[in-house]
Amino acid sequence: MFLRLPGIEALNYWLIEAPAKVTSKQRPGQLLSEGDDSRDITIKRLQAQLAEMAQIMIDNRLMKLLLGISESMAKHSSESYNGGYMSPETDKDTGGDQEVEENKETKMAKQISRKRRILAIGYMLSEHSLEAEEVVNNVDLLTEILLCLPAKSLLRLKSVSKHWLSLISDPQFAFNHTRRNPNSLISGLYVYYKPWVTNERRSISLNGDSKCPTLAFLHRFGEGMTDKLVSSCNGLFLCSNDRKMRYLACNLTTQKCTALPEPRSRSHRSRYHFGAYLAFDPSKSPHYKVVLVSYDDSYLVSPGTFYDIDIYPSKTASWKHMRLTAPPGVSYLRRVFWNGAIHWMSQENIHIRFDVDAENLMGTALPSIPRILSEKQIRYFGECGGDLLLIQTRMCHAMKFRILTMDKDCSRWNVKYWVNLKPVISGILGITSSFFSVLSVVNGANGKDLVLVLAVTGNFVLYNVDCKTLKALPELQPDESHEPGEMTKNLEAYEDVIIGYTAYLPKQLNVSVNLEEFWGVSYYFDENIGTLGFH
Amino acid sequence: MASAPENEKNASAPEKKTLTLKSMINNEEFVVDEHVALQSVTIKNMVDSDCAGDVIPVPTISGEILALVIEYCKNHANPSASEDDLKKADAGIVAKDIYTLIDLVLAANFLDIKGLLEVTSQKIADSIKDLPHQDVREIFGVENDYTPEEEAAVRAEHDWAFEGFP
Repeated sequence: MFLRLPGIEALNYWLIEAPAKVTSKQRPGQLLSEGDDSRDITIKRLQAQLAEMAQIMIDNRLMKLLLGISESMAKHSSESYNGGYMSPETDKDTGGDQEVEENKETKMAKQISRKRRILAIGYMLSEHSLEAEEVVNNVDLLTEILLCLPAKSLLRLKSVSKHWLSLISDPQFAFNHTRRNPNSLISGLYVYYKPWVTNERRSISLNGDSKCPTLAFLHRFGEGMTDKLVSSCNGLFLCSNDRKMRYLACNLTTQKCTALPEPRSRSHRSRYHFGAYLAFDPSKSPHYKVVLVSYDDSYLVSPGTFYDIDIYPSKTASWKHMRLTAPPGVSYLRRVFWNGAIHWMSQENIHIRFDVDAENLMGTALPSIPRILSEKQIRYFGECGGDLLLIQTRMCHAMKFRILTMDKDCSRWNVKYWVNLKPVISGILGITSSFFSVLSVVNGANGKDLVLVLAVTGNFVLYNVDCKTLKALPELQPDESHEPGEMTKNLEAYEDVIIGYTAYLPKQLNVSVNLEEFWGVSYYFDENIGTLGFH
Repeated sequence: MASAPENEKNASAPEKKTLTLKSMINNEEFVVDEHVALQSVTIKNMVDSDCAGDVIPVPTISGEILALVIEYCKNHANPSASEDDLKKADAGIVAKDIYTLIDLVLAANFLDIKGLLEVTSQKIADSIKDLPHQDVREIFGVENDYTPEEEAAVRAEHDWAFEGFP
C-alpha cells in the first residue's frame, strides 16, 4: 500500500511535467492523485528522471532517446513504481510484505519496463497522429479545415483516402466552399491565338508558377461541340459549335461538362448582335443560367425593335423564350454579366441591362460626361472585383487612359483611375508607343490592387494600376487540346486578333447543381475581345 | 455574457468575476475573468446550467494549449481592440507548427470557440495546401484505402492539379 501511492503520484507528476500530450486513450481520469503521500528520495529521483524524459521527448521527439530513458527510468522506478494503472495485476504483489516485495521487484522489473516501454513507444509513435486522427475522425472538424483549402489543393487531396474523396466530392460541400470563398482571384487566361490562321488556343498563367488546366477534356464531346469558348462567368464557361446552336456548360476546375439541349426557339439563328452569356453568381445560388440575346431590327416583321432572349436555367434544365422591346439606339456588341444582369451599351449613351432573375430589360440614359465612345474605341468592358469597368481610348496608340467604374444603380460612370503606360512601357520594353490590347483586368495577389493584363508587341505583361509596376509574363503555353501549330514569336497584339480568353480561378470552388453533379467550376471567359475582331 | 443572477448563484466562489480553468493533463491552472472564459460556449453552458464549480476542469487540453486559448479569448474580450489588432494577434497565436495547431483546433472545438476554430482551421489549411497528398496522409495518420488502380483513376481525373507533385 505504501508503495502504491507514490507510484501513482510519480505517474501523475510525469503527466504534470510532460506537456507532451497525454491522450484520451490514457484515460486521464484514472491518473489523478488519490491522496497525499510522503515523498522519499527515490520518488524525487524518479520525478527528476521523468521530467528529464519529458523534456527530451518534447525537445527532440526522438524514439531512441526515449527508449533509453524509459529503460533507465524503469530501472529506477522498479523500486517504487507500481503499474497500478498499466498493470493492475501487480497490485496484488505490492500488497504483500516489503521484503517479499523487494525479491519480486527484480523479476518484475523487466516485465514492467517492457510494459512501460510499449506504452511509451506507442505514445511516441502516435503522438502526432492521435490528435490528428481525432481531427480526421471528427467529420465536422475535418470539413471545417477542408473548406479553408483552395480548390486546386482539394482536387489533390481527393487522393488521400476514399473518405476524403467522398467529403470533397459532396455537392453540398462544394456549395459551402464556394460561399466561403466568394472572392477568388483569376489566375490564368485562355486566348485564341491568330484564329484566322490556326485557331490555336493558348493559356497564360498569371501566377507564373503553374500551368493552366488543359481543355483536352472537351474532346470527348466531339469537335462540333467545342469549337468556341463563348462565355464565362465566375468559374463556369460555355462552349458552342460554330453554328451556335448547341452549348456545353463546363467546369474547368473539375473538368466536368453538361450538354445543354438545343434551344427550341430558332429566333436567334440569323440575328443581329447575337451573343450567348452565362449568368452565375455562386454567392447567391448554386444554379447558373445561360442567356442568348439577339437584337431584331427587322421592321418588316414588326414595327419596332426587339431583343429576342432565350434563357436556360440549370435548375429547370429547359429553354424559355421571350421577346422584349429594345431601348432606342443601336446597341454595342460587348456585353458582360455583372451584378445579376447582363449589361451593354448603345450608341445613344444608353446603358442597357437585362436582369436575369427578374427577366426584364432596362435602359438608363447616362449623363453626357464621361462620354461613351464608339465601340471600336472601347478597349475593355468587363467585371473585376465586384465592379463593372470600362476603358476607352480615342486613339488606338494612346498610352494614357482612364478606367471608369459603373455605379451600382447603373446611373453613371465614374473615373476611378488615370493610367499612363508610357513611362513604364518604355522603361521595360524600350518602346514609346504601341498598340496594346487589354486582355483582362484582374485583382492583384492582395485581392485589392487592380491589375491590367496587356498584350503589347508580342509580350504579355501585368500592369498593377495601384503600384504602377509592370511584370512580364512567360510565353503562352499552347493548349494541349489543340494541335500545336507553328509558334509565332512576334505576337502582334490586337490586330492579330486574340479573339477571346478565359481565365480560371482555382482559389474558388464554384458549384452549380443541375441534373449532372456539377461542382467546382472555376473560370472566367469573355468574348468581347473576340467580337472586336469581327469588325 | 453571463447574467448577474448566475454570478450570485456562484457566490460561494471567493471571487465572483473570475473562473479558474484547470488543464487535466498537467494540472496547470489559469485564473481568468469570467467574461473572457465565457467566449467558450462549452464553459458558458456549464456556468449557465450551474455546473461550474470554483475550478473548471478542462480534460484533454494541455496547459500550453489552454494558455493560447485564453490569450485568444482575452484579445477578443477587449472591446477597444480594433479589427486589425485582432487579426495581428490571431496571426501571432496560430503561428505554430502543424501539431500544435491540431491540438489547438481540437481545443477550440471542444470549448466551442467559433472564431478560434476558424482561424486555426484556416492556418492548418494554409500549412497543408501546398503539400503532396501523401504528406497530408501522414500528418493526419490517414490510412490509404485505395488500390493503386483506384488511386491512379482518382488522380487522373484531376491531373492538372498534380503538376509538380509526386
